[in-house]
Parts: sequence; structure tokens; C-alpha cells
Amino acid sequence: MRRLTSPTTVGGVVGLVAAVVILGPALLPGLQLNYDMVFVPELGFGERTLGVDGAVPRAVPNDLVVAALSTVLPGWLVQKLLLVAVFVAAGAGAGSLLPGRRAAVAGALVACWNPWVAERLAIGHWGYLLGYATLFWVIRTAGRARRGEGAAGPLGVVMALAGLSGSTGAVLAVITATAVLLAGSRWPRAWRSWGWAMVVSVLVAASWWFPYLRSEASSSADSAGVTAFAARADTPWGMLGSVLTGGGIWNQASWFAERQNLLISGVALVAVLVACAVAWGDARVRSRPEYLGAAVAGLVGLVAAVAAGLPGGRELVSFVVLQVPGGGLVRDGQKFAALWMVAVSLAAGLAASRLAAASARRHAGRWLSGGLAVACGLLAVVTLPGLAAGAGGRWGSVDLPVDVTFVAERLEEAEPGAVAVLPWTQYRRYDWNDDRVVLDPWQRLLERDVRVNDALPLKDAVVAGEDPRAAEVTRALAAPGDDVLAALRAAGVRHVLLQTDQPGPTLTELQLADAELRIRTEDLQWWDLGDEGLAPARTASRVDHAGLWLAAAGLLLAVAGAAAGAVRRR
Amino acid sequence: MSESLVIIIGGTIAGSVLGVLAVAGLVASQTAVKQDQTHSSVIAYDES
Repeated sequence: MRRLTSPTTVGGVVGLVAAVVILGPALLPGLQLNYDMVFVPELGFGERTLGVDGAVPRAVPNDLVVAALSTVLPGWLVQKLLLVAVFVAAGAGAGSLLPGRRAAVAGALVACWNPWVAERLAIGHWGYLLGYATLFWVIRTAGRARRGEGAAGPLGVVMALAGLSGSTGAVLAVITATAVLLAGSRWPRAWRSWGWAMVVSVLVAASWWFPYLRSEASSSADSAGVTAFAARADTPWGMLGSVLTGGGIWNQASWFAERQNLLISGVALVAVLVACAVAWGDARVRSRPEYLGAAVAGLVGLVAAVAAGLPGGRELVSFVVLQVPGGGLVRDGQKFAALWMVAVSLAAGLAASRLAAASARRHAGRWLSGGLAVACGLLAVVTLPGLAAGAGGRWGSVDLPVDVTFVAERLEEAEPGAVAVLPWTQYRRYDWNDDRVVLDPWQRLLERDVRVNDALPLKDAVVAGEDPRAAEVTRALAAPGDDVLAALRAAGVRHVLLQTDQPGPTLTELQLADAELRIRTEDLQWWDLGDEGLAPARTASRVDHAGLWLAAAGLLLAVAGAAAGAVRRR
Repeated sequence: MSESLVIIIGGTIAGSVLGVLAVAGLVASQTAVKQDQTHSSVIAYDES
């Protein structure tokens, strides 16, 4: 019974309720497709999913996890479970770190209902969100390992899970574990636990760093991206004020209108500052490695998030992005505000706990002290009400049209050769998806080599793409008149999929006159360019798969470490 | 001051503040984020 009312369980229930209220219509059967959130009915184990196709491995290994889960569950259900897991894990994790149920309610509410979560959901960064949710558990397991209350095994497992959420989750977890284990006074066992966590993290992360270092794309980052992806003010309180409250994402389309209101965002900012100040006054913050580590990691995250906006910061971030291998990870700096929001969630819980304790000392009664604690958490909700019900209907669930699945099935079985998807641009607005902007889904609908233009079109700029094979298609499409089809074949493209309901640079039927029209539906045309002069397909070598083997070794090591620790305790 | 009176006054104040904020937030969330209106033949990543 005690477990059912523990802060961890209470936090998890708060997270579950938050998931239902926030996702709303997006939890109905069907796929939620918005911006970078692309799930398909059954994601296959193609080279892109495995991260061995030569492109920048952006969704590795999180797409691999989805592909594995999709072998037993439909894709839409996998998506819903992963999204709900974000909230339940974050809520339960926050609750597990806080003293008492009242603090757990406030902390879990802030952990689940804040601008960072809202804006990353809006832009579709589900992998980042899963990584964020694991951070609370990284803090918990690292804290226990440092105090010697538990072995480093569970920490290794959590680090592995964070790594499975993708590169961002892995980096955030490494910063968090380092801060919790090494901030303040250090003991040998803290170093041992840290070493274990790093070994597991580096091995699991090999699924993306190994192919990235082998990719030609690793040396082609565009400096325009540093400016485009720097944090911005989404409130009247400037960039720093916006990031302090968890917002400030660069993408204006992911902003929430109420944050532009001076009063609403002002209350949110004051609440964050007061919560931090009250929590800092709690002696436990400096004595418990969990709180101290969360505070240190939070400050690191805050500085990283606003770095590009500080004097000289843009030059520094540009240098890292352009010159340091893997430096592209810091291009979208605002994502590091996740670390700050973890700290703010715990601060809110601690502040609520202190408030409840102070009111109880004045004989205010259980209900009033409890109510005040919950009100602290509710401040997060009332300063961001637009997040409710799928962001007021911005997100929903849809089924793929029959012609899309029909063409996908036929194309999958077609003759060898890459598929180029036109119009030659990266984002779509389908009427069957209520015109939401979404990343082109065809690279996930098919297991074979699918080329989509990875240059990122913004309203006022284009950030150059990094996929060398997409660049080949870009050059082929620029070939003069009659040479286009031959140039495409020379780039390895045999099939052209034309989405006639989408705007952007495309080929006309006149230009495709020498190709064979295999299927025409209302919105899709599949053209076969033939195999004359078709460049042979590049297939991944055994060496390309080495990163995956290293990642598998990291997972096995993490599980074995946890099992060995459990056996020793018996 | 009796406990029940403290609860009533405290609850009313806290509830009123949260209620006012919630209403203000809901009204504000109904207005669109100000965006530059540009027309492009290509769908941009940062357009809503």
C-alpha cells in the first residue's frame, strides 16, 4: 500500500494524467505527424534506420528502437506508448527525487508541463523528450551510486536507455551523471560509477558516432545553421528570460501564443526564480548529490542554451559546429535547457515542500498546506494552458491514405535503384494530415534507399543539407533539359516518386517523357527511369555495422552489470 | 483565527490567482503567434 502512495507512484500518476490532458486527440488510434515527428505503420530495418546508409545518423538509434517495437505492435501504438512514457517516466522520476507526495505532485507537474516539453513536442522531437525523461532517473541512480546505497549497475541501465533515445539524450545524460557523481567532494566509488556510466554511454552511442565519423557528411556542416538554430525570445522577457522559463526554441512555429503575454510569461519567470531561490535555501540542496548535481547540470544547460546569444558566443558555437567532429550537436543550443528544466522541476517540488512545511508549522492544516503545494505545480499549467488537448488541436491522429500504402508496397518490391522523392524539398503539408507541416515520411515508409532533399528551408534562409547522396540528386536535377534523367540514373536513382499535391521544385511530365509511368493516383506518380547508365547501389559494409555491434555490446554490458549487482546484494 | 477560516481565505486567494491566470492564459493562447507573412513555393520548417 505504501508503494501505491509513494512519491514515485504519485509522480507517475501525475505524469499519466498530464499525458492524457496534453496529448488529447493525439492519443486516438492513428499516427501523429507534425514537423519531425514521423511514425509509419511499420518501420523497417533499412540502412537508414540502422544508421549505415552514409547520411548523418539523426534518428539513430531511436528509430531502431521503433523498428524493433514495430515488429510486435502497430506503429501508431508504438508512438502513443513512447509519448505517454515520456510523461510517466518524467513524473515518476521527479517524484522519486522529492520529499513527500505534495512535493512530488508539484515537481511532477512542472516536469511534465513546461515550455521545453511543449515546444519540443510541437517540433516533433520525441527522442529528445524520451532523453529528458531519463534524466530524472540518471540523477536518482547516480545519487544512489555515489552515496553507496546502490551499485552502479542501475545507473548503467539508465544511461543505456538514455542512449537509446538518440544522441541528444545521451549527451544530456552524460552531463547529468557527471554533475551528480563528481560535483562537490568526490569519493573513489563516485569515480568508479562515473567510469562505468561513461563506458556504457560511449558504447551505446557508437550506433550514431561511429557512422557519423565515417560519413562524408561529418565535414559539411553549414554555419548558417548556427544563426538559424540559436535560442530566441518567445516571451517579452528577452532570450534569457525565455530560456529561464524553459522556452526560447528557435522555431517560431513551435511557440505558444500565451507566452507572448507580458503578465503570463512574467508570472512564469517570477515563479521559476522564486522556486529556485526558495529551493537553494534548503540545506538539502547542498548536502544531497542529487540536488547539487541537478543544479550544476541545470546551470551548464542554461549556459549552453543561451551561449549563441552571449558576446562571442556565436563565434564559439560556430567554431564547435564547424571544426569539432560531432559539434553539430550543439547547433540547436536551446535543447540543453532540458537540463535546466529538470533542475527547475526539482526546485519547484522542494519549494512546494518548504511552503507546505511552513504553513503546517503555523497550524494551517493539512488541506491548506497540501493545497498550497499543489498550487505551486499548477502555476506551470495556468501559465501554459495552450498545451492542453493536443496544443488546442494542433496535434491529432490520422491514417495514411490507401494510395500511399499501396504505392509504398509496390515501390518496396520494385527493381533495384534509389527512389528520389519530389518535389525536391524536405517538408510537406498533406490535406489528409490537416495541412500540418511534417517531414517527408517516405524515407520511413520504405526500407530501400530513398533520397529526400535534406537542405532545410526556413522562411528567410536555407540551411545546406549534409547527405552526400541527396546532394547528388540536387546536382542531377540542376542538369540541363534532356540530361536530367540520365543524371539521376548516374546518381543511382531509378525511381521517381512525384507528390503532385505538394509545392516545390519538381519535374514536369515533359521532362519525364522518356520514363515509364508505373502508377498514377490522385496525388502520387511513380516513374521508372530504367536502368540504362544506372549507378550501382552503395551497400553498407561490415565495417559500417561496427557501430551497431558496439552499441549492442554496451547494452549487454549494462544489463550484465545490473544483474551482477543484484546477485551481489543477495 | 480558526483553521477553517484560514483555509477559506487562503484557498480563495490561491484559487483566485490561479483562476485569473488561467483565464488570461486561455485568452492569450487563442491569439496566434505573430509571424511574418511570407509566401513561398517551398514549405518552410519554421512556418506553422
